[in-house]
Amino acid sequence: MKLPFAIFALVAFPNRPLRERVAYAALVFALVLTLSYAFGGAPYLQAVLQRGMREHMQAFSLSQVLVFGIAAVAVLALLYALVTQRTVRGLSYAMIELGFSTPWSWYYAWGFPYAALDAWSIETMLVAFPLASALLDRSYAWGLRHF
Amino acid sequence: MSPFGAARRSNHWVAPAVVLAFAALALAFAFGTRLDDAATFSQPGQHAAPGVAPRSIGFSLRESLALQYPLREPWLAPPHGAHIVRIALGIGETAALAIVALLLRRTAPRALAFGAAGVAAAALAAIALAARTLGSGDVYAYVAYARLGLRGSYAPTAMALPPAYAAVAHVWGSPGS
Repeated sequence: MKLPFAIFALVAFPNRPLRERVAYAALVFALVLTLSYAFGGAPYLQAVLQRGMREHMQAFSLSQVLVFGIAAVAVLALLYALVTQRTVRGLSYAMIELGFSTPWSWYYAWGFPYAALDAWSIETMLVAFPLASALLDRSYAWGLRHF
Repeated sequence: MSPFGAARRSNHWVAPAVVLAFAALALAFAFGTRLDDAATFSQPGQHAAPGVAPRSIGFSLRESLALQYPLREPWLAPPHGAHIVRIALGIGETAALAIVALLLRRTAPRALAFGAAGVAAAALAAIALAARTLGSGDVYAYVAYARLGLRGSYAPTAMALPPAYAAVAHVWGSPGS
């Protein structure tokens, strides 16, 4: 189920020509898919897709719209960083929704690779870590009905 | 002249200020960890959390308290007041880090400031490891897999798996696959 997180590789190769960045990112994705297929087989890859579709597309709700909307913004931000080597300040906080689900507090760290491309972003993200962790603590989840 | 302006000419007070900020951060974190422990032990249980559906493999209050490190889970109804205090502590901790960041940005870092940061990081790790409760039961699953060993962890099971694990059931030939 962690296969989709290979998307973090999109920002792992800065200061290189675009063609090299795209090639390295594609290589990482190919390696992840190959190893996943080798260890889990086609049923694993199918399960990643089917479970995501089944669990997150069952019912239309405001929370689902927010989750998918923020996740889509995060994916676009990563693609933008891959192509332009630029980041948009503030979008590192959208990375917590790359799991397309209600986030756990440690998902906050998913934004660090993207934020690290900009000194201001990583500094503010680290400073805000304690408050974000407290706000995202699901063990106290207010009115959480299912997950 | 503002304090940050004076710092450029005479910054002998910056390092002690950074040390104090880190100390405040560690104290707030320690208090928050103890608060989490108290909230976990004061959970009334599932009957006090109407409308909150437990996970299919969730722990009951009795099972949670029987663990070496009891769990704090939404369906066991941990007190909301504790979470509010945790958020307030988070604001304070973030403020302490913001002060450190501002001070270190306006003056050359000193060995004492970096040393204080290292000590604070070690203290935070020690405080976290000294906690008596957990906010997630995942660590028990990881320990279980480790104790089963590589062969045991991936050995097929004779029981039917939940629908989310259909891929695993298909590979193992588990009942219901």
